[in-house]
Amino acid sequence: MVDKGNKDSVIISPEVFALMAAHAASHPTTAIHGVLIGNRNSSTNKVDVTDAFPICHENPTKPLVETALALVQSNLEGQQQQNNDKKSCIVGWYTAPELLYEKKPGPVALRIVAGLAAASSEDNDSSSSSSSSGEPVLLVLNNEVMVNLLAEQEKVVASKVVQAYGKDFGLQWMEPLDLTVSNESGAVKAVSAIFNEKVNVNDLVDHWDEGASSEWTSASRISIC
Amino acid sequence: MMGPGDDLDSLSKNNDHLGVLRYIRAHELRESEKVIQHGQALLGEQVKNSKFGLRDEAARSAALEQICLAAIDIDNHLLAERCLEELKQTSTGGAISGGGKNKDGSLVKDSDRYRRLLGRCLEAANDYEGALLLYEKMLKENPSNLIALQRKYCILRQQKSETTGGVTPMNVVLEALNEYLGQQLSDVSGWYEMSQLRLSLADFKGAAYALEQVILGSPLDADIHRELGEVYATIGGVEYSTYARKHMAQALELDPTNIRAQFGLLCVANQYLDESKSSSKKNIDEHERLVAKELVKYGADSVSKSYKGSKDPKMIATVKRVIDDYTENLE
Repeated sequence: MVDKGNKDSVIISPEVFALMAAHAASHPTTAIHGVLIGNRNSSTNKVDVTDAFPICHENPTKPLVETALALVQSNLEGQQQQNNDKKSCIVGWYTAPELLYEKKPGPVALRIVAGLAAASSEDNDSSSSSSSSGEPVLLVLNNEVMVNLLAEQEKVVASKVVQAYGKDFGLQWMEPLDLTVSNESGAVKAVSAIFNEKVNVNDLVDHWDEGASSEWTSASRISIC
Repeated sequence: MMGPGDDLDSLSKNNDHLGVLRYIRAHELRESEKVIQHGQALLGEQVKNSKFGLRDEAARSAALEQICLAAIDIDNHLLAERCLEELKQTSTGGAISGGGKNKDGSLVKDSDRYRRLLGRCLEAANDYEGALLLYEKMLKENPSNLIALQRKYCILRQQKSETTGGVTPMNVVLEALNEYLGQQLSDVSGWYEMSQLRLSLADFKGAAYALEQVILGSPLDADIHRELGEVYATIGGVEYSTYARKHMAQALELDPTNIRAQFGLLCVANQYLDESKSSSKKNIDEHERLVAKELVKYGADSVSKSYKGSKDPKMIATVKRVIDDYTENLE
């Protein structure tokens, strides 16, 4: 449960922000879902989201989520073997609702993040490591604010486009958390550039549809100038 | 005049504007820009030309209706309004036939056909209240008016709720779709829409029922079998895991190159093994477990073959680790 004095705060990198916004813009008529990668500082309760993998643009089912998490975990293991970096892990889930006016996370996203929490606590129980990934966070994109950002109708602050949620007293992920985007202006410019150049974000379902040789876009493949 | 050998390009080249409109209508293509281009060439910029190239009012009304729908598709509300005005004026007040046409074939102003078009224009102009009132009136006169039921559901599905500030309550949306499906049980697209709505509410049993209806109408669609397999796997339990396995295998039978179904088979067959192991039922068929193990191996082989041609060595290594996780603990 969330102790108000020790509430998590979330920092997302501009690449992650750009990926989430571009993923939503690539599939404007459906809900989107993806996995968040990063690390958690237990002493400061800060969750640093450094990478993200888009998963689907539909309502995900158990086999899809299980396979996606297995692939992401395997990718992390590969990176950790290569770079000898053991800090990054799955820290949460992101989603954008299907309808323009919807602001709350849907029941599917809430079930997925609860499943992530259960899996993470099982791993922590069995792991001998002293570090833990803690409770996952849920990021929800605000479609209306994002439309204003892409239309450049008013000065939109990037951190207003995304709302972070943590676990509340009812054990649901409906407790709003503080969120900042590092390099806000860079993030906004990157999103506008991606949208204007009509760059498509290939999520896992797109990657499977187009064949094994196609790309599975992740935040680390997006460059912020 | 459109012949059997004509296609859209040859009709456009020959400036057969009426032929182009008829071709697009007959083949149910979504070519709104072309419709407007050829429609205005036929009827003028203001779509007022009543005599050029058209033999009867039926053809003119059909062209105006088609141009109106194309105009709202590309957000040209002015043109849509002009088309509606022209359609209103062509109404001569003759005998109303079942299709909403006069004796000379033109549309009657208050016919169902005209009101359906008006409703679409109101929706495009974001006047959802006006459109809903119109559809409710049509349903009062004829409760089994399928188009009105369909459009009413579409409006409720995406409309902002005045009371909550969010979206229309789901029970209202579900009731509207149920009302439509009650009148049109064989509409496969309607059942698919129901399955997606149920999935968004995490009602997986409801979604499975709806997808079963879709399969009755499209038994050879690999993606529907794959989707139903995933939904059964999400419900869980030994019985549903068996159904999941069967539908996933059927999906691969219909489309062996479907990578998502290959991973899906790997996952659901493995889930069956886990569920049957932990199940309290004592009569789990050992043959079924052997079949599940073979399906895990088959799924793993299929995925490996699919990724053999990939040029991304990191992706190949990632996939190999996942496959090894699934296959190394098989007895």
